[in-house]
Amino acid sequence: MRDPAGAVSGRIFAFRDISAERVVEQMKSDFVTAVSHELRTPLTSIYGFAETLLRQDVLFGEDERRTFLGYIASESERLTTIVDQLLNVARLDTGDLQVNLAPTDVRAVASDVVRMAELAPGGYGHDFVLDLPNEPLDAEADGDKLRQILANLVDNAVKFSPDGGTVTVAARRADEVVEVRVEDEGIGIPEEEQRRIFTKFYRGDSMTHDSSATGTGLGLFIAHGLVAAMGGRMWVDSREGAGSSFAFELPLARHAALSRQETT
Amino acid sequence: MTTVLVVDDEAPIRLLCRVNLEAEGMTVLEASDGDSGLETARAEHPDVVLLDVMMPGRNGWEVAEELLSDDATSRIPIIFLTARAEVRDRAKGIDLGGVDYVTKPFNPVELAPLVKDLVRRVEGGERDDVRREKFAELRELLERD
Repeated sequence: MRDPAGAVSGRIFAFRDISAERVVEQMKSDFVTAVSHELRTPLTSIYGFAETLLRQDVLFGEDERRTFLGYIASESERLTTIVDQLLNVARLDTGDLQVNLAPTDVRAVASDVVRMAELAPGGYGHDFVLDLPNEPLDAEADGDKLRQILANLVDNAVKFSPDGGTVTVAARRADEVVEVRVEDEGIGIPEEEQRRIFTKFYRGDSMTHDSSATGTGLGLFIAHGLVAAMGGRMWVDSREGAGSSFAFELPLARHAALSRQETT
Repeated sequence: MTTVLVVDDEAPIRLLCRVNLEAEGMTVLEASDGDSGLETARAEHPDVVLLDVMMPGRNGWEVAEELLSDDATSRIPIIFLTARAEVRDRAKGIDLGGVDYVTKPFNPVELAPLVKDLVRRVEGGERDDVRREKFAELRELLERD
């Protein structure tokens, strides 16, 4: 600042704390690296087995050909899942995500997801426990989205718990909501991380500290967003070293809520 | 006959390497994580190690450091097999002592000729020349960016 005579009479300094922006930039950069890795891995199999099958100097047997083609198909599916994930994030960001709500039997979806996890190739010998009520348990939900949420939680439970550990999927009716829980015996989540766990690009510190990290850091962000889009909420109970329990609740299906009112 | 140890946590990628290397008359050993990769390398002394970087548990860079710091395994040439395509990641592999890197996705049919050529050059005492060439390639890539 200068006085009327033009001499310097003071200075103004403006400071802005950009550490938060830096953190976001770093997370975005980690995200691009993670997505690149996640896309390149299935692409390697698809491209590689196609090139292998195209070899004219080697005659593969029928069984081998089928194995190669099987990998091309399954890895293409894996790629599609990742692309769907990215699209979901874009839609959650813009609020364009469509959900088709209808009475959905949570027991059937939970059983399906657990069966798929048990059959998944490359499993680590986990025990799966289903804890479901005997009577129907209908939530007002989008069946495909519910399946996606549960599959993500079960996948995380397997990924973050020791080989041979137990993963429990439980569902129950609590007043006017259906509560679903996925529990593992894994490494748990420190309290300070629990607040950030549902944010976009976030991956656990235990993963990001080494380069073996896999995953895009989008799974829980999407699951949380999908639950919210269906009118529910998601949370986590966990202690470091003592496993995690991810839970969400969805509104009870209207007809189920009505029949409950009639019986009470 | 050349023996290649493939260390990668992805079963389909190990199979890809196996069928294409075996088709060229090589013997292939497999390991699905860093620890068993180290164990196999120490026990079997392969002629070359194809080493994935991002694996659960001990990652490829840690495995390479272990192999290169142990007199019993330090002469085995390491080729990194990596989905980390950034130049700095590739440079890190060569810097650690690797002789080459292959970025995923790659054409597995080209793997055997690459392995053969590298093994021949390393056995002919050209290990440092090979690594210098890789550094020069990377430097060029960096300058182009």
